Amino acid sequence: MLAPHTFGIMLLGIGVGLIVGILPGLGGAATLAMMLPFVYPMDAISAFAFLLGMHAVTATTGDITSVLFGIPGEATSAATVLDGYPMTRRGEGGRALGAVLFSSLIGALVGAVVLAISVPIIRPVVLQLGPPEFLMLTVLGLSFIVSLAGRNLIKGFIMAALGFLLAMVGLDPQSSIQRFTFGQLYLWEGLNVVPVVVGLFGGAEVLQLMMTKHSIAQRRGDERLSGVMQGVRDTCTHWGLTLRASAIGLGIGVIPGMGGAVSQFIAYAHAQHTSKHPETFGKGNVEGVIATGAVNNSREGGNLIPTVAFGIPGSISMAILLSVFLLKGLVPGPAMLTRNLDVTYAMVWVIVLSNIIAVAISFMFLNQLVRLTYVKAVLLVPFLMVLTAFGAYTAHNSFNDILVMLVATVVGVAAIRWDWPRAPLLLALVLGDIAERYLFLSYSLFEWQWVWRPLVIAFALVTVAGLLWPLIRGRRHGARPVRHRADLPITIGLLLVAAWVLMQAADWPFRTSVFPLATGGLLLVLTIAKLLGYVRRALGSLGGSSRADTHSYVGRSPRAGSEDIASGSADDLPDVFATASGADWRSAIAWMAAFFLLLWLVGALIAVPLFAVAYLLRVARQSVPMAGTYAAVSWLFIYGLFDRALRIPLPAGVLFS
Amino acid sequence: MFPVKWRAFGVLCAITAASVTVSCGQTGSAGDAGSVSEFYRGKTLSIIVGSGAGGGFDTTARLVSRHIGRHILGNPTVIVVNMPGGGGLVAANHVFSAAPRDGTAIGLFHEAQMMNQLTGGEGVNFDLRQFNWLGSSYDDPNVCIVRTDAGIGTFTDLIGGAKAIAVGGTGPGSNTYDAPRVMAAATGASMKAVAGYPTTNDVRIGVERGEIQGMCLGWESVKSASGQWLQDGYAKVIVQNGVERNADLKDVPLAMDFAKDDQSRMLLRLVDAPGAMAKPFTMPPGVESSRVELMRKALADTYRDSAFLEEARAMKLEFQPKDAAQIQQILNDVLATPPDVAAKYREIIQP
Repeated sequence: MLAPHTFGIMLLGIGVGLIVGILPGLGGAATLAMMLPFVYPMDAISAFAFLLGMHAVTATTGDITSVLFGIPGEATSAATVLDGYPMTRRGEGGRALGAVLFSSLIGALVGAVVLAISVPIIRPVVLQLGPPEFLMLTVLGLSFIVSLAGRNLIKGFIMAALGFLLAMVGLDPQSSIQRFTFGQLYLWEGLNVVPVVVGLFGGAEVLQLMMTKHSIAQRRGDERLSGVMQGVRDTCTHWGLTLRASAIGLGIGVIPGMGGAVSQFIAYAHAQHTSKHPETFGKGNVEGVIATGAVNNSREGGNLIPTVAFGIPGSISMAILLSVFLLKGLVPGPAMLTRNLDVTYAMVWVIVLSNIIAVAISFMFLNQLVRLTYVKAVLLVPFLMVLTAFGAYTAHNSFNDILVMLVATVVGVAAIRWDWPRAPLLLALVLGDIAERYLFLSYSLFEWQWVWRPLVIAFALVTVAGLLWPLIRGRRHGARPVRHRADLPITIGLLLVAAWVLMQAADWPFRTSVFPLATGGLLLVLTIAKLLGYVRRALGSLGGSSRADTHSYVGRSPRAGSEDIASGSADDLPDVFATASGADWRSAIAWMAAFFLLLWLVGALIAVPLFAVAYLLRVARQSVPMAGTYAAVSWLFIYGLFDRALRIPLPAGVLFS
Repeated sequence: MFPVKWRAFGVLCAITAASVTVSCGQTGSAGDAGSVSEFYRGKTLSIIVGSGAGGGFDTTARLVSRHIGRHILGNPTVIVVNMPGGGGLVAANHVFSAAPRDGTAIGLFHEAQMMNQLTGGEGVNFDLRQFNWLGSSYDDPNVCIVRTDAGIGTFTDLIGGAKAIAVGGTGPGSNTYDAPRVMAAATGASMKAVAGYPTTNDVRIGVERGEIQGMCLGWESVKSASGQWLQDGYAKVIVQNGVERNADLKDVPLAMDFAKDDQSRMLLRLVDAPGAMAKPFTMPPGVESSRVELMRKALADTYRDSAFLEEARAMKLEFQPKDAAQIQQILNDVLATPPDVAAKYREIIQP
């Protein structure tokens, strides 16, 4: 076990992690790098107690903003939004947080235990997995687009194709030729997932809140069912899912080179596959929350395995941790099992303890945090605006990050308003680059011989089985997809995008152009198919009146009768975008535009308090003292904490540079 | 209730006003002091790094940032700002034309940008010769390491095509890819460079899996990240690049010794040039010369600082700095390369 002073240092790490993890603008890796100087004087075990304690907490707290405000702190918390936020809107924020935190804890414990027992045997296993196997895992991940697409398969595939195209932006990994960069240096490295995630989910939700007259939680949940402990009970009820999701996180975490966001979506899709109520996913099914929580923290344990066993880090955070190994004179590899076994086991203990403590501390504050979702939503708007802006800005400390976030917000709003599923786009964006990279790498290394590798064939069979499974289980009986008038112009727009992509890619050398051509071609075919559907319907309904937009919305009409509260049905959540008036739209967009324009012109230190005063006075109709206090606190917060204490780079404002 | 609220508001306003006064006062007094001695007091010095947190550049910058403050009059706060993009291109452009020129900004971006400038790469909006170089960190010649069980006795085995190996790299523009391409072309060695690994760590795992037999990269990185391989006899260095043999590698032949002709020799020198001034710190053009000199001295003092050296040793980093004049010399030489050689270089590194 740990010595008392080591335990104290771990508590300190957990404390720092809690504060920093909840704040926007600092990723897990950046926090670790910032805290490195403090570990120089410590002994090895204390250093890991501090850093791992902190790291474990930041992995957990990232999910809290996803659940409460629909704003993911990191790319690895994106899938938590899908069901966690609808639960909060339904008044079950406590339950969702309870579920995500408790399943995180279980995931972390599973990860730690496996780390403890697997170090001796993991080396040969990991070495079996090369680029061809990575490629097949990516394909397996992509096959989940089908289930993430929900009711409207063709829309889901179109969004996935769009995500793929976005993944192609930047220098192509084979020959460093620019693709879709519009001559912008910023786009050379490709689109960073974080601003896209923050906009697609968070930005769109903030805009929605600006138009609502109520609180985030639309109603108070039944005390019995909406509390934190209910979430804990849910996790225990779905213990099989919790363990399977933990296993997925662990498996993908062990493999260096597969990103964290991938594992979360795979676990989420797996939960949907195996659920008795797959149709309620995306509307606040607690199973989706449990899976995404468990997978995140078990992955951290998995990530440690290659770092300890090979001395080769699987992620940036682990690279920083590795530098601590070296600094403390520890050589990762077999010696971690013999000479340094105490360090290895201390690491396991730290992961176990810090997760338990972090979850316990979080539970103490949960009810206070959940209360925020009962406050009038407009009061939260300035705060959430900062959350999205700083969250996006972490990617490159560039205002371009915020622009990407805003574009993603527009896409996200359109997707919500007209029922285009967002998850396939994100999954394709995350996996597209990996798929292309490992396909060509596999070919360069083995030509086409790689398809005969046993594990490649095994993964291919799993993928096919996963695709056939829903068919065997019987067709999903969902409601018929709703048609919208806007779908037609959107489809035509995307058709033009596809044509433009094909024209651009036609001039590129073979390897650079294969993926863009294939994806562009796919998008073209899909949009044409969708347009043909319109033509057919138009011919069929020449006599009758158009049904578009007069059709009753699945998302709007409260369904009477038997609502299974325990398994979660969110069909009665108000669709704010569909019901808001033109004036509401104009006002919300204008205020949002004003904030970001102000941020660009004068920087965060002035823009945030100024916006807070104006917004609270004009929109939220608060008193002058209240608005002044809000602004002053926000200024002190940003100046004192971000600028002075943490030294996080903030948008400085073009007028002053 | 109401008066309490007002009082709280008043207190907050007072705090706010006080902070504003203090912070404005700070900038006011520092701004007008022209003298070098007082300039950095209470200031924040930013090291702008051309890559993300956690990499080699970031590690070096953070190590230096923890010590250089002590060697600057006024002991400023030193922070690291990550500005990744285009292999250092974003940071280089930023430091060249956008960063403050009052001496509060230092750049640290990839020295390989010199090849980018030489070959007329897109997006290059700077002239490296106009920067105020402070000093480089390492002497980092490219070497190729190969697994011992690959059956390659010496580099000569690869020449003439009797045996062939594949080495892994990230992609064009990185020394893990460009260096083996150029070495193979210049010596006729059967060494195939495979591009597409996401990071050099993924290349290392590729070597362990055995799909590639080795990798080419800077000697400093080999020592710090793969030193164990060499110690265990798992891998060995078969060739090094450069004009003369590195002090650590007296028994390893130079690629130069196998060069086919004069142009090949020029190409080898070209691909070696960035490694000779690895991880260089710089200030933007146009910074007042007294502040540049002060910073050059501060960096040189940092490299001699015992606390700094102890930390560097723990991290297995060995600094072999070059000064501003040496860096300027390397840049002048490289950027004066005849156009036909530059074109040939460009052709070789195209996949």
